[in-house]
Amino acid sequence: MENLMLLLHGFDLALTANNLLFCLIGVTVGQFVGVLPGLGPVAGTAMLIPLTYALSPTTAVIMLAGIFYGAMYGGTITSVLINVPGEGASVITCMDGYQMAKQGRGGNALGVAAIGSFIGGVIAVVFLTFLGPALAKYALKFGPPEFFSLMLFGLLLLVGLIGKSVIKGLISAIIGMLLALVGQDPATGVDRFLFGQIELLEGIDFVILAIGLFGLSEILSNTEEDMNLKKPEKIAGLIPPRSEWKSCIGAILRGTGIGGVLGLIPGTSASIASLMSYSLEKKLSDDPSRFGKGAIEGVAGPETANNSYAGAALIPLFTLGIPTSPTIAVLLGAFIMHGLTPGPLLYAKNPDFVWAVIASMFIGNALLLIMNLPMAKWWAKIALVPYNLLFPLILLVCMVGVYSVNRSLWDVGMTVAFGAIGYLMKKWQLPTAALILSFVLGKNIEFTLVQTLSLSDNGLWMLFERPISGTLLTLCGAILIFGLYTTIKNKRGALAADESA
Amino acid sequence: MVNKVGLSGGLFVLAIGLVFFGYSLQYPYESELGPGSGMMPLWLSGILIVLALAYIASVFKGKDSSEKWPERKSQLEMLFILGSMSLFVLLLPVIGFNLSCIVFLFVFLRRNYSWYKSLAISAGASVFLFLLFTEGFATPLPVNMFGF
Repeated sequence: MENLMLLLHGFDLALTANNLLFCLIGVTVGQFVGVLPGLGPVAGTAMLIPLTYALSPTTAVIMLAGIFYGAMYGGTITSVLINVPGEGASVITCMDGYQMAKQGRGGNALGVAAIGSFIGGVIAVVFLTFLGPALAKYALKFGPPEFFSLMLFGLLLLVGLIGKSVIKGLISAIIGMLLALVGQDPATGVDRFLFGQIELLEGIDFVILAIGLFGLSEILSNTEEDMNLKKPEKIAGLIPPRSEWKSCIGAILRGTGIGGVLGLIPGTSASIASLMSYSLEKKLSDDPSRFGKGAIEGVAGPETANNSYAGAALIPLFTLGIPTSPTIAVLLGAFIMHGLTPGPLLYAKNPDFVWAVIASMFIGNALLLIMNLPMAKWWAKIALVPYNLLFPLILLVCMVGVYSVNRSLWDVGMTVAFGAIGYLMKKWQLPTAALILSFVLGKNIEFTLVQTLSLSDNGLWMLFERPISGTLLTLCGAILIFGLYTTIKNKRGALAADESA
Repeated sequence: MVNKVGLSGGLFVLAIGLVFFGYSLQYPYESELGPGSGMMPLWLSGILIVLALAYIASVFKGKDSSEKWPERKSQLEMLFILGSMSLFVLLLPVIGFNLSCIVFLFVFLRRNYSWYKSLAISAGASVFLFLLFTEGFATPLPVNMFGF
């Protein structure tokens, strides 16, 4: 009941004209990012961070969260109508969505995807409303050893699940942590790794790294792709026929469950959620041969799962301060830049912020439902804006955005350098997601380790003496062994190939 | 045949590891509070060197999964993008935000659009961004001697 009252208060704050406007801007930009191939939610969110500096923390995060879950909706449209996924989580939607569009049922596919996305997104936010405060209360008992182990666990789960090689995942993660240590050490005041550059005294700005590694490197990678899209298929009748309702509802509910559970686990992604939902629907179907030929459950399940994932992934961020995926890591970076510390104290120290953001997500999902049901046709046309016109503008926004953070050309130059490095990392198959996640967590990992060692009489053993910390570290060891085994035996499978969202 | 892309990646990682390891040795390993500012980076860079060697070994064993370098056309396009961005950075303090933006966008757009379309889009986008940042976000941008 208390949570409900707080949520109502959150609605009061989220429904102010300013917050409502930026929620609308956020979900519209998110939808735009989702629709445009070659620009994922990580890049989209990172590029927009500089624009939020003038905003209050609440308004800024309302907008940035809107980009994240908005992108999940937008990615569907091009998957269904042009057979080109706007972002990674919608790749699987192409399989049946495009087939449905070719059969003249594109409207049904978009309709069921929008409704499923709305249901999945809203149920996940309901979880956040009720599960979040309870988890945060429990996490208040955590000390530095528990937080150190938890962050390491989250990081290793990501490294263990992403990419073809756990060695490469570890390499990326360690580079990210080393980059996080550049600048003045907050504990001892020693300047580290300045390489003679005074600009590095404050450390490497998160925006520079995120825009370079995700925004610019994606544009560089796109030079190898054909970015000209074909004309979208026609849309008619958005609501599926009554005969398909039963199978759709089942797929939507299962998709919600899969996305909701995976969202809580670090190292997973929205793409994995949609892929698992698709596999489950195919397995449960009376006639699996329909899949790939226009089965509506093949659209309803995955599209619900990726939106449910997007909402649920905010639970570990809000309650533990642990990002579960690259986009959430970017959001965490935005939190820190606005002076907020995600974690168990967030609910106690900044209740207005937490509940306004949660309430805004209900509103944002409703706005996206309206945008997607009657307006899908127009969004599909946006995807046809020529890429050769779009990408110079995106580059310019990136550079001006980076410049505006510290009014420094050094920062812009660093972004260009990190863009080139991000591109090379893709070529070398070093996962950039692991780098950004460890960069965000790096300083805290060092800080909690130093605190633990300062408190401990017997060194690192303290980490194993405490039950939660000891359990998490044991799991870390198991993940590493599993990762190394699958790398050596070349058994990483489809789940390991993904590093988006 | 050694995968040259993979080898370049391994050497890049090794170089990073060695540079950070060398610098870490300059910082105290211990402090009055316990661990010093050099402890964490020393361990991390040490592990990175070991991982880089494992990466290089996998390249020589033919087990590395690095992709191929892009074709010449894509390479030139990438150089063009990075070069134009660098040009923008160099021009910005000299000729101001608006003119730098116009030059930056024009060189890209002119390849696909007529000169007057390219110029109109470049000028429009530059003025829009200038007003958005200076008026909307209260962020001053560099201007030239004429104030734009």
